[in-house]
Amino acid sequence: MRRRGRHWTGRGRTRHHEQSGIAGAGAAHAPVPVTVPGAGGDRPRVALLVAHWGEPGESGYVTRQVAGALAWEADIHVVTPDGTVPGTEVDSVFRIHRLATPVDRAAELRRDLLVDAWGAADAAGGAPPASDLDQEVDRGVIEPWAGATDVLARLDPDFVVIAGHRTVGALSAVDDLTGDRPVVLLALALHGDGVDFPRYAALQRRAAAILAVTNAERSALVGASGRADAVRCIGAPLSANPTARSEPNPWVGDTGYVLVRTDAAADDTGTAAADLARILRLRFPERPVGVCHTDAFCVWHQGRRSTGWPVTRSSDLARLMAWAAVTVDLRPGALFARECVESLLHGAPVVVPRDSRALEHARRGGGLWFDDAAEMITCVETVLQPRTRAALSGQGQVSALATYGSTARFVELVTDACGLGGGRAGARQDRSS
Amino acid sequence: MGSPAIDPEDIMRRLRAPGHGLAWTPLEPDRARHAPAGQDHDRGPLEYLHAHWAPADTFDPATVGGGVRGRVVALVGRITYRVLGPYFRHEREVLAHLVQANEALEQRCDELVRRQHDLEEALVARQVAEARNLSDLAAVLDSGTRATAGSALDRAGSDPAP
Repeated sequence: MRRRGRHWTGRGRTRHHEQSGIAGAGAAHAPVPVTVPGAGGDRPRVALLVAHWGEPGESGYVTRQVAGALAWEADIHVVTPDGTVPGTEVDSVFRIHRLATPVDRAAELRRDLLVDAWGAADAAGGAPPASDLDQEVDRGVIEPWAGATDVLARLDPDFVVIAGHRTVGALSAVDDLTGDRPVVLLALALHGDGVDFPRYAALQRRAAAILAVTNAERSALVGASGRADAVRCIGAPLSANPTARSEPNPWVGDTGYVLVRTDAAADDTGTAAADLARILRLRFPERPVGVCHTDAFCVWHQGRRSTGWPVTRSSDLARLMAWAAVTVDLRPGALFARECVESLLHGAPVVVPRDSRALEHARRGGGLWFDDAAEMITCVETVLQPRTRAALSGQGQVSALATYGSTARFVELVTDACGLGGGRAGARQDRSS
Repeated sequence: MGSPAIDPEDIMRRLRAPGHGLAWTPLEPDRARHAPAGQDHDRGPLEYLHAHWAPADTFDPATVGGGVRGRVVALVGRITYRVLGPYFRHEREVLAHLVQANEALEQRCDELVRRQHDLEEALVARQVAEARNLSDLAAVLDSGTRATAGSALDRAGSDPAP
């Protein structure tokens, strides 16, 4: 791994960051000055403000990985409104400060629906001024952060990382502190998320650096904030478990099956995902088609269905991906399509909707993409041709490994973006792994 | 990598080229119907078996005529039938069961033929239903695509001119 020779040098220094090295990320980045006040000699203290700590899903995963990367160089204090009793606890290398004033999920849902509705109306040219919605958008999501200011004052962090570009409550808590604390925004902007909603511009402006997981997310954030120099693509650390290739699942079929991921239940009808899954298993009767539903895993052999338990463990999904001819992900993760990356790491090409975060992975050489059902079928047919499949499999694996396969690189990108000693942390991570 | 590099963009351009897309027409169901066989088949051999399955189990002296030769033949016949009588009766029972078994087999064959015909009917009915269902699906997908394209056009049309 490259060593940058830059180190944490104490409080009050202003350092300039070189461009990130992750493939395709931040190729045009200019140096970003981040002033990092801190205690000389000792480890810097970082406060990570997150609405929900430890929640499943891609956002929760990336948040924890970023915290873990920063923990190589700093003491990480996670501040969250979650919890039923206020207090501090230790979670691995993190100290969790729970405010016990949780953000109501209904308030978050209302906020997201309002922003989505505004976005749709704006696209149609009939949106009201966004400022009219500020009060409604903020209802129930600002107050839970009121207690964070006191916690931050006690912690006196060197800088603050706010997880989620809609977490404006955390920003207000930071702004209530005396003194100007540097803020890093871990955007977690989902596909189709309203990153350009004016209410969130303040957080994007305030952040010294904005962390994005994919290039698509980075582009959206650059488009919304206009700060190409500040938005960094950090990727995510992923790996393919080699034990997944130790033995195929004979219940599905030795190899060469089509693996379909969907968010539909097995008996759902009428939804787009259910229709597409049905088309796939009808269209390819000559080979097994395994469909991951929310409530079951169904395998179709020559039109006959075998129903099993739903695939909930990542190791089970990895085993299925490792032996699949192709993975068709009908509902890729909205942040960075994690399962598609894992499929590529296992050598299974992907076929994904064009309008998704998975498009980026396919375009890098690991698969094809579709707009409609007919295209989906031709894409799967094309990928199933042995030579095409072999080429896409190899290319996808190499590309996924280069972009997501190195934890050391991820640590370096994150710590670099936050103004910490990325090269040193990455080197240590290399040695430990 | 062991395989030559492939550019996914090239593949997608090729797939989207005119004439390379997926063409779809409903699959015509197989309408060929056959009358159930077995209803009008030749029952002659079985009828013959029914009529002639029972061999004689006694000797009729009247059939051999009179005279010394007739009396001798009648004597030998009576002795033969008396000695072999149990075997003849046993054979008669075997033949009776064979005929019954043939009759049962014929009924079973007829039943299977009717069942096969019913299955063919059900298969054709299912084919028809599937074809109709696929037509509905194609229509739904087509209308969905048009609706999406339409709303996109609406949005484009409502954008203010630059």
